[in-house]
Amino acid sequence: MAIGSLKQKIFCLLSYMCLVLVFLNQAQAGSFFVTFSPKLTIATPQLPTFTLISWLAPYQFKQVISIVLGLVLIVLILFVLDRQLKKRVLHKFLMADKTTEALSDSFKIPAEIIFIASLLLFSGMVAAYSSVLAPYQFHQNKYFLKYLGLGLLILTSVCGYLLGSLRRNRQVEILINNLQIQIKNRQIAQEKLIQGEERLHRQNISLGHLAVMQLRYWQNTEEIFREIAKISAETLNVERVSVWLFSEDCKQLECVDLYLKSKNLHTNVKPLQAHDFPVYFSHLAQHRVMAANNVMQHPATVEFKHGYAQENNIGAILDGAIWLNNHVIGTICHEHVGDAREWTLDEQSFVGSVADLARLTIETDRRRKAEQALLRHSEELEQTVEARTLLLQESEKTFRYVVEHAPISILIINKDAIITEFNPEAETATGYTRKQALGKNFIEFLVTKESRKKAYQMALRTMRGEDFRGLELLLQRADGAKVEFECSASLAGYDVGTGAHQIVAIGQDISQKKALEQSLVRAREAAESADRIKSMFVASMSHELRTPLNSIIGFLGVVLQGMSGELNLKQKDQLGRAYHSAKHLLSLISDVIDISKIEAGFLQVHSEKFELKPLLNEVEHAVHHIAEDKKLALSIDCSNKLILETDRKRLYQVVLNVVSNAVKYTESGLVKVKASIKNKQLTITIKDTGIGIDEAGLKDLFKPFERIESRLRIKTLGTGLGLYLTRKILSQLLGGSIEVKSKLEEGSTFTIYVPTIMPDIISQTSTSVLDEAHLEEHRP
Amino acid sequence: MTTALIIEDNENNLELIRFILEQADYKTRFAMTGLEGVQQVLSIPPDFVILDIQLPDINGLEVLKRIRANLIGKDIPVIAMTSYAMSGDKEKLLAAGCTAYIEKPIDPVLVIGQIQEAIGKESVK
Repeated sequence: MAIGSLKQKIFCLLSYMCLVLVFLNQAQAGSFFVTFSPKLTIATPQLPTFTLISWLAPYQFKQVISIVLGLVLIVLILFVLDRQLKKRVLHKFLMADKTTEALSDSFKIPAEIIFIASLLLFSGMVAAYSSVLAPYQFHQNKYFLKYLGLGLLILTSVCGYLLGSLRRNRQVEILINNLQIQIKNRQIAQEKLIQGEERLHRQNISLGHLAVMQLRYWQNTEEIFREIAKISAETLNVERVSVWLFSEDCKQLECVDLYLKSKNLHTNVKPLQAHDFPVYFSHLAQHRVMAANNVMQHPATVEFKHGYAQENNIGAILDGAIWLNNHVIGTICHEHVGDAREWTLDEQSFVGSVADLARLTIETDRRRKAEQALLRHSEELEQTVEARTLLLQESEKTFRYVVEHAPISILIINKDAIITEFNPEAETATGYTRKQALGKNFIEFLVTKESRKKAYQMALRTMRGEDFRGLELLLQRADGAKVEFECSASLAGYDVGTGAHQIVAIGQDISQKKALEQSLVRAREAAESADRIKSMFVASMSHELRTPLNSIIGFLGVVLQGMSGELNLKQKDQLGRAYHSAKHLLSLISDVIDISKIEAGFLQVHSEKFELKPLLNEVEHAVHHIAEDKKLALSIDCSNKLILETDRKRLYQVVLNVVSNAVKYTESGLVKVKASIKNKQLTITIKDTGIGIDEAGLKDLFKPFERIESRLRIKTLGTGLGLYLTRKILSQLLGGSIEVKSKLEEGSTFTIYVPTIMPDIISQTSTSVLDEAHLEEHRP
Repeated sequence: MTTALIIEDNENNLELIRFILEQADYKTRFAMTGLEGVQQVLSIPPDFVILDIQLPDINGLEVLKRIRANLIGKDIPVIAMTSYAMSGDKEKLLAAGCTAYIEKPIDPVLVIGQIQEAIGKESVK
């Protein structure tokens, strides 16, 4: 059309230019030629203009007639065309809403025809005018020419009208065509609208159905999900619909149900891992509905391209995320099998609604579970309450029983000191009955004037939360007698009835107890004096027994030494026996006194700082001569730097005792003494190759007056108290211990353990020789 | 001749010590109670004193203290003898100025050596 119109314009311009030329030629040709070429005009009047428009040269009659006839033909053709066009336009106009055939084909022809017709017309016109009018001035028959020109004018006018009409009609036709296209579009749109409505209707029905489903299968979540998948698939005409839920840690999507529409089959697939499909998972978490029209192109689903989507020939995916409390908990996935598919808005919205329904299902399920749990819990609670109530009743019973049968007076007093509980024992103790006592002011009713102040104080302070134990109150009995009571009271929380504080007071008649106490005090005093007497006895014994022995031993020594004259061998032997017996007696007495002092706690320890080596040397010195007589090897292994802080004399006593035992009971071989300090503990090991001790002997070794049976027993002097005393000194005075390992005929190993610094507890006051003398002064 | 004062309440022990000392050529005097002993030391100072610890009136420690408290008795060697001593007694006596300390029962041979050692020590002082 545009080209046509441009062509038309160019054509029109050309033809008008020709017309102007023709008219110019016609009107002024004579004068023109006269003015500008007089010679030619005068000389040859025919020729010059014919050379100007040479192709119009032949102007014979026949030619003019053919031109006119041509024009008439054109007019006729145009007329026919115009009629046809009009008819068609009218037809189209009438049938505009019915015919939808392609119109463009038929209306192209008139455009060409009009173009050609116009071309022909104007070229005809030009030809006619130029052939008719140009030679006008030279023609003889000017009338003929006049009519001919008029006829041509009419013909061209008719031709022009027809052309105009043709063009108008053509435009009308175009208009109608456009109109028809519009109508068609409208119709298509309407159809789509109807389809959409149908879809919507279907979707609505489905949603309604699903909602009903939800109500019907409210206890079976899985059934609802299956139904959701199925109905979604049918409603949206999608092949695969699946319901997925996130695992608890949101790391994977687990398929609850996969519905295959064509097979009408519910199945399942393996879970999707979040780390395999990060973009898809993040899309899910951000969108309510995710529509992937083309799986291969959508950024979220492109991850499935080579796996899931390809395997199942999935072209488009429409995901409805299930949201609950601002979190995505799952998705309903619609997978269209085949090519890409454009998801319409209503489909997307439907999927969203289905997802909401699914959410509702889950929510309902959770609520239902919570309700069940709550119900269970409340049932349990009821049971517990019931059990508790029973217990409470039981305990109330017990409590009542306790109060009624307690062998002690129990009173409960409220904050105004009014007695609210008065047990049977209180009845017996005071002589009042429960009825008499209840409702009375405790202090005014029971307490004598002497004790009232005390009682008030007790009540006040108890109210403040203090507890009273053993407060002695003088109470008035019903018969008027005054009895001493020991009372204890404490705040016992709230009185259920009044909500006020209450005091529990218990009381006991202590008149008898008091008397007993006094007799106890007397007894204790007596015992204490007896103890003193005993200690004095021990002290004096040590003196009194030893003093004569000392002089016996001394004098025997003097005589034996020959200081008071020579003795014969027999006398010497007999006096020697007396001397040794006396010495043995002395050591026996010493041991007995030591033991009794330790047992009575009289023996004092005296802690001092000293080196161990000299002490062991002294021990060696003391047993040296016996060992030498028996030819025993006696070795002392002790570092010079062992410093101790303990009772030197007692330690010496202990070591000497054990070492001399070892020497005594070893006939040949060696006695080894080894000392070391580790972790603030001194360890002295005394090892011998003596006769050893059997198991029975080991058992009795540390018992008093147990001398172990052996072949050396008679030969060897001993009190039978040595090891007993040794162990007593170690354990009770030095805080140490002694161990023994022995094998008969192979030897024994005694190990003494002593802390290098004496524990404080052991240092205690006791009697010493000097104190003993002091005690003697008090002797009666 | 060196004179010893023996303060001892037991007659037999007194006789024993006296005998041993006289055997070793010492002159002896004696006192049977603590107070009498102190008095004798201060009135006629002996060359040394043998002092029993258990005495009927005042004990040996007290006697020693009283002797040492006096100018006369300050430098006289005092040898304490006791039949049975507790730990610490020896220290108490030595602290109070006792020259030597001999435990009973005495060895008739050794005791002279111990006494001579004690007197010698004092005389060196």
